[in-house]
Parts: sequence; C-alpha cells; structure tokens
Amino acid sequence: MPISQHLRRHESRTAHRWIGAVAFGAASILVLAGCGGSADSGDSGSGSQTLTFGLSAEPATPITGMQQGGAVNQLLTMVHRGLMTYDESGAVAPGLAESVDTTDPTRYVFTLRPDLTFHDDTPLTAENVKNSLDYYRDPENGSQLAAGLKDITEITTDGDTVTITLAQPNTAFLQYLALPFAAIVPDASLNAETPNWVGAGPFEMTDLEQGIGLTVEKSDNYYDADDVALDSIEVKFYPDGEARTNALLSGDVDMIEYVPWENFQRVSDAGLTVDAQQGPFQYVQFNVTDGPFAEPKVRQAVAYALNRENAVLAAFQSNGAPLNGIVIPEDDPAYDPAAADLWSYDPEKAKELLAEAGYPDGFSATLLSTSQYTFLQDNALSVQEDLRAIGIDVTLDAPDWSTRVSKGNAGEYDIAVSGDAGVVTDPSYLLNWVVDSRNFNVGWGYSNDTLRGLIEEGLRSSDDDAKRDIYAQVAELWAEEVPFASINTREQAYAYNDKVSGFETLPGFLVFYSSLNLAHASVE
Amino acid sequence: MLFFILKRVAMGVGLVLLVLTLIFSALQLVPGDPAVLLLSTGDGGAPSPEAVEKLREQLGLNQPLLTQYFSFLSGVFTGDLGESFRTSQPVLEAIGARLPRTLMLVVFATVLSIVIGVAMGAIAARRGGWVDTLVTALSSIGVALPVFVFGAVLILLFSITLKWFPAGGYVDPSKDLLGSLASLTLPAIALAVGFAAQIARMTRSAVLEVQTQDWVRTAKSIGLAPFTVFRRHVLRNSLTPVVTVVGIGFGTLLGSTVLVERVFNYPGLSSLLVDGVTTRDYPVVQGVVIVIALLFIAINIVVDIIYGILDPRVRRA
Repeated sequence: MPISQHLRRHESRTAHRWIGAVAFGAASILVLAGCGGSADSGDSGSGSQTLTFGLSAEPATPITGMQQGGAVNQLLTMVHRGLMTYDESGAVAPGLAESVDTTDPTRYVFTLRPDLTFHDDTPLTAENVKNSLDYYRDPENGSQLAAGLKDITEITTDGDTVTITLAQPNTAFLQYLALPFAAIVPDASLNAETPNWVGAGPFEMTDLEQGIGLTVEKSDNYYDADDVALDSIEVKFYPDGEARTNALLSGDVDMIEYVPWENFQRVSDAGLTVDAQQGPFQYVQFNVTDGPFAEPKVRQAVAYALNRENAVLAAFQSNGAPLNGIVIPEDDPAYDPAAADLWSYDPEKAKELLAEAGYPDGFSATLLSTSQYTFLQDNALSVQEDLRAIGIDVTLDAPDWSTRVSKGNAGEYDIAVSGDAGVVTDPSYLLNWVVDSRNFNVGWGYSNDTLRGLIEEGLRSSDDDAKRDIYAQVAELWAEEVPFASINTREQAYAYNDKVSGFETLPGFLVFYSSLNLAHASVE
Repeated sequence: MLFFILKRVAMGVGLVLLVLTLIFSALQLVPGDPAVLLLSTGDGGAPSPEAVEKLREQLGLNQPLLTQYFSFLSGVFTGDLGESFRTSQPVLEAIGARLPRTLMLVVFATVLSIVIGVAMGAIAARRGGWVDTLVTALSSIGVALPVFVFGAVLILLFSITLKWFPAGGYVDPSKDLLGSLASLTLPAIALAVGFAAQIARMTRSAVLEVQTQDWVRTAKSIGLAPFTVFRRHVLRNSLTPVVTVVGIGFGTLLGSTVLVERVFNYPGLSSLLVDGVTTRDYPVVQGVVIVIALLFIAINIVVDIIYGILDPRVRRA
C-alpha cells in the first residue's frame, strides 16, 4: 500500500513537470513571436511611405513586349511608361510625350517631355522611342503589340519629336501606345534575353527575392516624380487567393489585387475597401471545324440555353453580371446597349433551334474547362446543366490549366468555357474572335471575313455615327453567327485598408492596369 | 555497419537515377507546352505562334527528346540543374534558397511533435484514467484533422482575430530572428499536430507494453526509484518504435509541407515544386524531385543508424 501511494504521488509530480515544460515552451514561443510581430509593424509607421502590396502570382522574369499575364503587367505599370498612358478615369493621356498632334488621322507627331531619363540614368531619346516601337511592331519579335501597331508604316525622329505615319486611320492606336507593355525601354532591353526591368516609370525595381517578393522605389528620374507620394512599394507574392485575402485581413499587406470572388463580402465586412470593376467576360467557345457546332443554328441554341443568372451566382457569388451579347464600353462612340442583348434565356427557343438544325433529340459533346481556376469550372458546370436541359449531353473535361491550354491550342474539344478581356477598350478587340488564329482563346477554326471587314472598317472610322452603324451591323451578324456565346462579365477587384488613399481601379478591361494609379496613391 | 551503409547509399544512387528518368518521361507525357504556358494566363489573350516558337528555341524545347534527356543527365552529374524557364534563376540556386526554409519548418515541427507527442503519450500511459482517455481522444482528432483545415483555423484565430502572428510569408532569420520565428510558428504547429498525435499514440502503447516487461519488474524489485525506472528502463526502451515513427513521419512531414506552404504562403521547396509543375517549369521540377529523392534516402539511412544506437541488437544483426 505505501509503495503504491508513493508511486502515485511521484507520478503526478512528474506529469506536472512535463506539462509545465510544454506550457512554458509554448508560452515563450508565443511571447517571442508576439514581440517580433509588433516590432515589424512599428517600422512601417515611420516617416517614409511604404505600401505593401499582395500580388496574385510570382511573376516570370519580364521579357520586352511579350504577353506574360496579369502579375507581370502589374509590375510593368509600376516601372514603365509609354508615350501615352491612362489617366485616373481610364482616358488616354500623354505619358512620356508632352503632347501629341493628330491633325491628320494617319500622322501622329509626339513631342517628348524635356530631360527624360531611364532608371539607369541614361537619357531617354526620340531614338529610343523609335527603336522600342519598331521592335514591338515587328511580328518576328513575338510582341503582343504587333497586331495593334500593324498600321504603322514609318517612324521618324527629329530632335525631341517622333512622327508616326499610319497606312490608314486607326481609332485605337493611341490606346495601344498607352498600355503598360508598350513602354519605351533602353535599346539594351530590346531582346528576349535581357529582363525588362529598366524603364522610365514612377518606380524603380531595386530588390527581387525569388519566391518571396520584390521592392520598387520611387524614381527621381520620373517626369512626374513630384506628384508621386509613395517612397516605395513592397510587393509580396501570394499565388493562393485565400492566403492573399488572409494577408490583407491580418494586416500583413495594405493592398491586394485579384480578390477572390468568394471573399468580396468577407473583406468588405471587415471594414476594408473592395474596389471592383466589371471587366473581363466569360463565354462558351465552339469548335466549328465539323460536327453539330459547325452549324450556326446549334450555336444559337446554346446561346439561348444559357441561364446566365445561375452562372454568375455559381461562379462569382453574384459578383458579375449576365451578358447576353458583346461588350462595347460605354464611353466608346460605338456603344449601343442593344449589342449586349443579342440572346435571352429561352430553353424552348433553344430546343426549336436544335430541331431546325436537325438535332431534335439532341446529341452528346465534350466541354473543355479547367479544375485549376474554380470560377471556370463552376461556369462550366452551369453550362453543362443548361445544355443538358435542351438535350445536349455534355461530358466535362476539366484538366489543369496547362493541359487546358494545350488542348485548346490543338482544338481538342467540342465546346469550351473561357474567360477573356480586350487588351484595349476599343471594340475592335473582337477581331480576336473572328480571325482563325488557332489558339486556345478562339473558337477552333472560326473565321468570318464579313465580320472582320466590318470591325476593321470600324477601326478606321473616325466618324462616330458611322462607327455606331458599323457596330450595329456587327451585333446583328454576331447574334446569328455566334462566334462565341457570352455568359457573363465578372468583377475584378483590388482591396485595401484605410491607410491607402488616392487609389482607384480603372474601368472595364483597363481594370488590369489599375496599378498605374499607384503613382497617385499614398499610405496613412 | 559501414558496409551496410555503403550498400544503402549505392542503392540510393540507383534509385535517384530511376527517379530522374521517370520524372523526365512523366513531364514529357503530360500535355502542356511550357513555352505556351509562359506566354499565357487565365485572362489575357493568346500568345502568337512566332513568340511561342522563339521561346521554344530559347528554352531548348525544340531539341530532340534524347538530346534533352542526356543534356539533363550530364547536367545533373556536373552539378548543373539548369535554369528555371520562368525566372531564369539557376535551379540549384533556387533550391539552395528554398530547401533550408522547408527544413527549418519541418525540423521545428518535428521538435514540437516529439516534445508534445512523447510527453502526452508518456503521461497518458503512466496516469491512465481520464487523462489517458483525453489524450487518446485528442490524438484521434489530431491524426484525423486535415492540415489545411487546422491551418485555416490557426490563421483565423491567431492572425486575423488576435493579430498575434502574420498570416503567412517568410522572414529571413538572419535579418529578423523574432519575425522569422513568428512567421514559422503557425505553419509549424499546423504541420505538427497530426504528427504529435501519432507520436503520442505510439509512445503510449509502447510505454504500456514495456512497463510489463521482466526487466522493469527486476529494476523495481532492486529498489530503484519509480521515476528512475521509468526514465531509464521504460521510456528509453519505448522510444525504439517511436524513432521509426519519427523517421517515417519526417518524410511524411516533408510531403505535408505542400499544403502547409500553400495555406501559409511559405516560399519553401514544396511551393517551388507545385509552381514548377503547374507552369511546366521542367528544370525546376526535375531539380526539386532529385533533391527530395536524395533527402528521403538520407533520412532512411539516418533512421537505421539511430535504430542501431538505441537497440544494440540491430547493430549485431
């Protein structure tokens, strides 16, 4: 008896010692960590203005002129400027050019601002401008601007003026020059090997930590440096949307781009600003080489079968809007609300159209989507339901994004769900879907010379009424031909805490270039 | 023993070669062209065929497969793992930066797991009763709890609500030791919970079993203090199976970091691998897989050695 008593007492004392040690260890970690955290936040409060910015991906090393996606574009808006730029409201405004003379619609005379300098302290000359633009317009260099600048016939320089001659008038020309990837760069950057970091923009890239983040600092060489309030921007990479949102909510960063739709409410409930714009649109694309979808009536049937309210709810938690036609931005002379209302949700009419096309009992088809971006998959599921309701038995194919791109580029699908936006807001962006360019964003094999001709005519037309007429014809033909069946537009959002002021997202497709406005933003 | 280790190492090298070939072929088999992917995103337009061709040429993707394979192999043996397609950073450099971060996380989590797990297991076995029931219940929950769910709860509680710890990210310990510890704590706890539960269970059953052994009875009967008996004869002998669990678990932890690094935006080796796979960054994927294979083999050898130290019978075998 006494032994066992002794044993038990000893046991409990040992147990206490164990628990005590563990508790002490945990507590000391907590205390140490807590101190570390508060020391961090103390630093950012002092004198200089540093914005911490959560980027949605680790950007690839930028290559001059190449299309490399949203994350790279965000950074280009910080370090680069072109002849033109977009102002806070999204209108084209002079950038490196002080003024532009457009008395002749095929001749643009740009006068550069005085004493322009790149971040590496070399002067920015009219020759640099010519060389950069010549590089961008040469399709051999693989620049995404080649199509937008293809009307250029000649670029000449004289002192600090640059004269660009076009083969024909082009109403979107200045919009292209304002894009962040139409930046004027040093001649040394005009190749695929040199990282495209040196620019003449408001911020200068100073530090890159692979996998973690990078720092840009205010450039004194920038032409409008006096108006730039931020001393630096600390960019951190958050490929996961949830992690990005958490970083904002916990105060690790002041601002994030690309807020996941399911988190809009959560962020605004926490008292932060969700600054969203209806930008990109979602659509069903068709492989038109053979099979049922080669028949326009079947494509029309799909367009009438889509329950777009459902799709917006499912994929974007209602942070989007149903789209029954094509997007023409409101401030464009061609704007006509009718263009956005070409089809309605009408399953009965869809069935009739299918019967007229010779498929009264429907058929089966494969729908390509991706599991990597949830919104694309949710959009696809909604489309699958809608098509099943009219007799089209759809099998979903949802591989990872990389495979999706490969299959899209090889035309390995019957229909697919995609999301995209115009590069510029001029409605000529629609050209991308009526010219058979054999890439993953276009209906496989689709081309239409009439539509192409009309859109190009619209691009040449400087008369507003004429442009509106042309796009009325485009819309009418689009409703019959259905190069793609649109589903919805979606909101694209930046979110920030109340330390940030002076930032606003740009309207429409330009929302992706909103970081241009970081030049006008400040913290605290 | 030395011969045994050498044999294991030789087998390991063979395994690495096999892994290399497998991973190279697997990457060729999966659809998805790195050049196209580098030039496209979920939103933007499509890259021009000219751009793709130019990039393929630059990345060496237009070379015949066998040429690519042999230049890859010879690269590996000369210590050159190539350059990332996306960032042009040498793969060895990227791994050099990331591996210590993941190891730091895993070691931190392992230490936490061992301390908490062994303590809880030993307490449960010695105390019995409601303590035992509680520990057993907690460890069942711990084993079953998905690491990303627990991670999300930790973030919600300690980062967003209490704002004690950052929600994620990485701080270089040489620049800011406390900040670094703060950023490590939550992911390490998330990573440790399942493992600690496993160790607790293992320790508990091992202690219970060893307590009934003859030598324990002998030790008690010669009048040794009960705690001395426990420490010297029970716990020590109970740890042999625990070491195996820790060894295997260390490997599992390395695997679990894929989710933890994602949830906590921790730029370690796993996130490098995941990003490499999703962007078809072949050199990065190959490089990381080689390193992970080497690491696993090394861990196995180390476990064998520790096993030998704890239990002399293994050395003689």
